[in-house]
Amino acid sequence: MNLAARGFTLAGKALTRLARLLPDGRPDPLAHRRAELGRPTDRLDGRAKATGAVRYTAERQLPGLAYAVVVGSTIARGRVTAVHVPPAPGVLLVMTHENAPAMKRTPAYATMKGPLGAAAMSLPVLNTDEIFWYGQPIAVVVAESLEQARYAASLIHADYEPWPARLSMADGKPYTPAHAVLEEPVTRRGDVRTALGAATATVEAEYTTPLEHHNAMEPHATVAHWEGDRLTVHDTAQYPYGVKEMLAKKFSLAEENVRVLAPFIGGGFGGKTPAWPHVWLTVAAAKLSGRPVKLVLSRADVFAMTGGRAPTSSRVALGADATGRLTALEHHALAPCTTDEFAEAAVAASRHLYTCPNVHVAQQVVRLDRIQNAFFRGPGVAPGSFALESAMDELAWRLGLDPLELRLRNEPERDPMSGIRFTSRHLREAYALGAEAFGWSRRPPAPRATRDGRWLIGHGMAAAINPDAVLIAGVQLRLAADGTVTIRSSTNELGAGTSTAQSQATADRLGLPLDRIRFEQGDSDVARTRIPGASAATTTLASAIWSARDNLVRELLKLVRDTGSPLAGRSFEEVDTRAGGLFGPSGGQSYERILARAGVEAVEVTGKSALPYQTVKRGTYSYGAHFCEVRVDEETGEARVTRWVGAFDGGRIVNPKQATSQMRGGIIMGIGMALTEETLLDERTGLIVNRSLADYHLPTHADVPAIDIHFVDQPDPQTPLGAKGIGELGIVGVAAAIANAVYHATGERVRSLPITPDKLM
Amino acid sequence: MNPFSYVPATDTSSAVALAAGGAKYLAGGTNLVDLMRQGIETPRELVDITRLPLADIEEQPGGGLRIGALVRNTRVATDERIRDRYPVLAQAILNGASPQLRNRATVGGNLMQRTRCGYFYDRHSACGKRDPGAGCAALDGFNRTHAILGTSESCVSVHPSDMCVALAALDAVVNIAGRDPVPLVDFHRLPGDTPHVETMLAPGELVTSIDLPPAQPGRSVYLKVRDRASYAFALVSVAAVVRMEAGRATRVRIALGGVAAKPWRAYEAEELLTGTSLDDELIHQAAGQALAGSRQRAHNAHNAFKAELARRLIRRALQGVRS
Ligand SMILES: Cc1cc2nc3c(=O)[nH]c(=O)nc-3n(C[C@H](O)[C@H](O)[C@H](O)COP(=O)(O)OP(=O)(O)OC[C@H]3O[C@@H](n4cnc5c(N)ncnc54)[C@H](O)[C@@H]3O)c2cc1C
Repeated sequence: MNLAARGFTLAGKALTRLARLLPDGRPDPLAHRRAELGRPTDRLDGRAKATGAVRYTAERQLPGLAYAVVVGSTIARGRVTAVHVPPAPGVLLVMTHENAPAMKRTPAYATMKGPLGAAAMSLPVLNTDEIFWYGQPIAVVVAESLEQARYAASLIHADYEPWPARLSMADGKPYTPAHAVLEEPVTRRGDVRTALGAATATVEAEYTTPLEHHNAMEPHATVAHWEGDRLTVHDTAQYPYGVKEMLAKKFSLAEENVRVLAPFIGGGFGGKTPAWPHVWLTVAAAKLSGRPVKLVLSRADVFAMTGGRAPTSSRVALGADATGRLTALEHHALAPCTTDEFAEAAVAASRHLYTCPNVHVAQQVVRLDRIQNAFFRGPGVAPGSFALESAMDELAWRLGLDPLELRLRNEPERDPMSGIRFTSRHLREAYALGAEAFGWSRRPPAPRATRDGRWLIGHGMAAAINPDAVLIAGVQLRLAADGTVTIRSSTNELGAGTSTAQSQATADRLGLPLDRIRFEQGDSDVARTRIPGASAATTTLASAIWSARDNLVRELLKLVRDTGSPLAGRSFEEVDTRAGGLFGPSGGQSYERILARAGVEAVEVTGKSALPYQTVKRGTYSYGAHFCEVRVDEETGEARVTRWVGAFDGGRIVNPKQATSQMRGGIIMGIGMALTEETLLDERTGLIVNRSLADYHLPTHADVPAIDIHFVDQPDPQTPLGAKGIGELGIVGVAAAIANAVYHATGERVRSLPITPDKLM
Repeated sequence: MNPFSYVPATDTSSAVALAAGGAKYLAGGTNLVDLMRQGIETPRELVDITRLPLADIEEQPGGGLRIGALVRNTRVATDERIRDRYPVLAQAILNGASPQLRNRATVGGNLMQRTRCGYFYDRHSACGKRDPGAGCAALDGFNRTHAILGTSESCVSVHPSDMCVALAALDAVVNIAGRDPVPLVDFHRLPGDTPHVETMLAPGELVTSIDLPPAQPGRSVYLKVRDRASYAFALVSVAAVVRMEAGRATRVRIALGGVAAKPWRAYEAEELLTGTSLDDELIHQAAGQALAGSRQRAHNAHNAFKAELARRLIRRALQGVRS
C-alpha cells in the first residue's frame, strides 16, 4: 500500500471512531405521514415530455447560434505534430491546441482532490499537443450549420508522433490506489488463508466484467453563450453546480458570472456526472468565435469522448463451515485507471453484505492510456456483486444449501467491516417478499431439472446492496399570496421522477395539495448543491425542503406576531404546517390568509440540507433481492430472461409508481450487463469498434420479461422522509442472479460477462 | 458526409444513364446514408430510384414470383403469396433489423447492403474493402462475428443479410438492367485478393428484380441465432428447404448466413442428403460436411464457435423439416 492509500485508510479509521460522537439523523415526521407521499402519482412532467414540450439541451436555440463538431485523435498516446485543416464552407473557427484559449487545469472528480463531480479529468485537453487516449479531442470545428461543421471536421486529419500506449490490463503493474471510491482500498481482518484451509466448503474463482457504456437516450450536449465575461451554459449536466464551479475556475471567472442550466436530462446514469472535455471546449470555442456555440456529441463521440464503466476482474475466495456460516471472504479486484486515479471499486459489496470473521478485501488498479472511467449506475457494486453473488451461489451448491438460506445464515446485525450499526436494514424482509412472490421454495433442487422443448429452464437469485448517500443541497422556496409554492433547485430531472417526488414531499411538508406546488430545477445559481448522483437526490432535496419549510414557518410567525391571529406569539415548536396553513394549539390560519393579512405578495426563504451525520455514524445502505427465471437453448447457447421478481428495502417509498420504474430500469440495464453489453476496445490501438447502438447491444423489448417489483416500504428512522436512495440499487446483483439461473438451467457456470451464446454452447 | 448532388430518376433507363458517371443508387437509404455519414461511401451523386416502377410483386408465367427491386422488405414479408408459397423468405426478413428499418429497406438495397464489420466502418482502420491492399484489421482484432467460410487473408467480413440466405435456398435469380439474369448464389463474391469487389454488378448497374422459381411442395425453415432476442445481425443463420416424397428427400436446399461474405449454400451436404430419408446420422454427417471447409485462424479466432453453431443449426433445421 502506498503512502496515499495508507493516509486515506488512517483518516477513514479515525473518522469512524469519531463518528460515534456524532448525532443521529433527525427523525422525520413525514416518514409516517401519508397524503401525497406514498401515492403512485403519475410523473408531473410526463405529458410535457411525451408531447415534446420539454426542451432538452440539444434543442436550445439562440440568436446567432453556431455549431461545433469535435475531431478525435486516432492514436492513444503520443503527440500531435500537425493538424491539417483543408478549407471548407461555412467554417467560423477551427480550434486546436495551437489557438485554444488557456483553460486552467482543475482536479478530476472522485479523486478527492477537488469537489466531487466537476471535471471528468485533470488533463489539459487542447492546451497541449500530448495525446492521452484514443478519441481525445484534437480540434473543434465551429461553423454556421451543423452539416458544415460535420463536413469540415471530416476533412481534418493530423500527423502524430505515436508513443507506446498501455491499453491492456496486462500492460501495467497493479498497485493500490489511495482510495476505492471513497472507501479504504484494503481491509484485512483475521486470517483468510487459514480459514479457507479449515473450511468445510470453499470456492475460489475469477470473475470478469467488461468495459460498458451508459448509452443514455440523450447524447451529451452543451450550448455556451458569452456576454462580456458573463457565461451561460446549457448542458446535459447531472450536476449543474459542479459544472459552474469548474467553468469559473477554468476560465478564471467569478462564480457569480457563470450560470449553468440543465433542467431536463434524457438519462445520465453517472455518464453525465462529471463534465467531459467537450463541455469546456464548447465554452472555449464560443469565446474564441465570439458566437454562441452548440455542441452535441454524436453517438460515436459519446463512446470515445466520455468514459464508461471500467472493466473489472475479481478473484473471490469464500469458505464456510458445515452449517453454512462464512468463515473466509477474500475479494481481490483489479480495474484500470488513468492519470487521474479513479477505479471501479469492485469490492464494496463484499465489505457490507455478509458477516464473516476472516476477511481480506483489496482493490488494485492498473494505469492505462484510456479516457477516465465514469461512475455508472451502481459503480463498483454492480460489477463487484457479480463476482461476490456468483461465488455465494457456487458456495451454496458446494454446501448443498439453498442459496437463499446461505444468505440468511450470514446476514449481519451490524456493519461487517466497521462494527457500526445500520440506520436500517430490512434485507431479510426483502428476501421473504421476493421469494414468496417468485415461488422460490418450489425451485427444483438440482441443475438441469427443467426443460421445455429446446429450452432448459433455471432459477437464480442474488442480493443487492447500494450505499445510501445524503449529500448537500440548497433550495429556494417561494410561498405566493394565492397559496401556491414554488421550489427552485439546482438539481435536475434526470428522468427518474425527482421533480414529482419533491413536489409530493413539499406538498406534505407544507400540508398543501399537490397542484399548489411547482418545482423548478436545474439552475446552478439557485444554491450550492452537490448531488452529482449517488441515488441521493430524493433524500438530500427533501432535507433542504424541510429546512426551507422551517424557515418559512419562522417567517410566517414574524408576519402574524402583532396581529389578532390565533398564531400570534406562538413559538416555532408550537406550530405545525398542515391543512393548507399554519396551526398552533389554539387554532391556525391558511397561508393565503396570513399573507393577505400581512399584505405581502409572497414570502421567500431558502433551505439547506442537514449534514448527514447518520451516514457517517451508521451504515446506511439500501438493499434488495432478485429472483429470476432464465431459459437457455443448450444447442445454440442463447439465454433469455423470462421472469423477474425484485424485492427492495429502499426505506419509505415516496412514489411507488416511479420507484417501480426505477427498479425496472435498473433490472433491464442489469439484463444488458449480464447478457449483451460490452464495449469492444481494440487493445492494439484504443479504438472502440462497436460505437453505435446497432453494434453495442442494449436489451430490446424482446429481451425484457415481465418484471414484478415489491418494496418492504419501512421508513428508515434516520433519513429525510424515511427514504433511502434507490436509483442505482436495481442493477446491483442482476447479472449474478442471471448467471446463477443459467447455472441452475444448464449446470454451466459462466464467470465472465456478458453471457453470450458462444460461452454457453 | 461529402457534398453530393441528388437526382430522382423516373424510369429505369434514365436511372442507368444517370448512374453511368459514377453515381450511387439511393433506395431506402438505411445502409447507404449511414455509410455516407461515416465517410465510408463518398458518392458525388445520388440517383434516387425509389420512384422507379419496380415496386411490385408479380406472378410469373409458370408459377414463380417476380419481386421488384424497390419493394420494401416489410411488403415482401407480409405478402400473402410469399407467406403461402415461400414462407422461409418471409421468416428470414422478419428475423432481420427492426420494423422501422424493414418498412424503409428495399429488396435491392438488402441484396447490396455492405458488411457490418466494425473496422470497415472506421476510416482509420486497415480495411481492404475500403482501401484495396490495405490488409484487414479484423484478422487480429474483434472478429467474433466474422466469417469462417470462404475467407482470405485480405478479408474475413460477412454479408449481413437475412433475406439473401432465404433467397439462396430458394434458388432465386437476380435480374439486372441490360444484362442476363444471375443466380443469387453467384451474385455475391468471396473476398480473395479483391475484397472491395463484393458482387458481380459493375458500377452503375441496376438490379431490377428478383425472381423466385415456382414454389416446390415441401417444408422450409429459417433459424437465426443472435446476441439478443431482436434487432441484431445473425451470428449464424440457416435456411433449409426440403421436399419429401414417399419418405425420401427429393430436393434439399441448405443456405447459411453469418458465416461468409455471401449467403453460403452447402452443396455437398445437400447432395449427401438428396434421395435419403434424412435420418439423424446422415443429417449429422451432412452438417459436418457443410462446415468442412471452415477456417479459423490459429490464434485470435473469436469466431471459432460459429462452425459448431452452424452444424447444430443445420441439424435442428433439417430435423424440423423432414417429417
Ligand atoms: C441498425 C440496423 C440493423 C439491421 N439489422 C439487419 C438484420 O438483422 N438483418 C438484415 O438482413 N439486415 C439488417 N439491416 C440491414 C438492412 O436490411 C439494410 O440496411 C437494407 O436492406 C438496405 O436497403 P435500402 O433500400 O435501405 O438500401 P440503401 O441503403 O438505399 O442502399 C444500399 C446499397 O444498395 C445499392 N442499391 C440499392 N438498390 C439498388 C438496386 N436496385 N440496384 C443496384 N444497387 C442498389 C445502393 O446504391 C447502396 O449501395 C440492418 C440495418 C440497420 C441500419
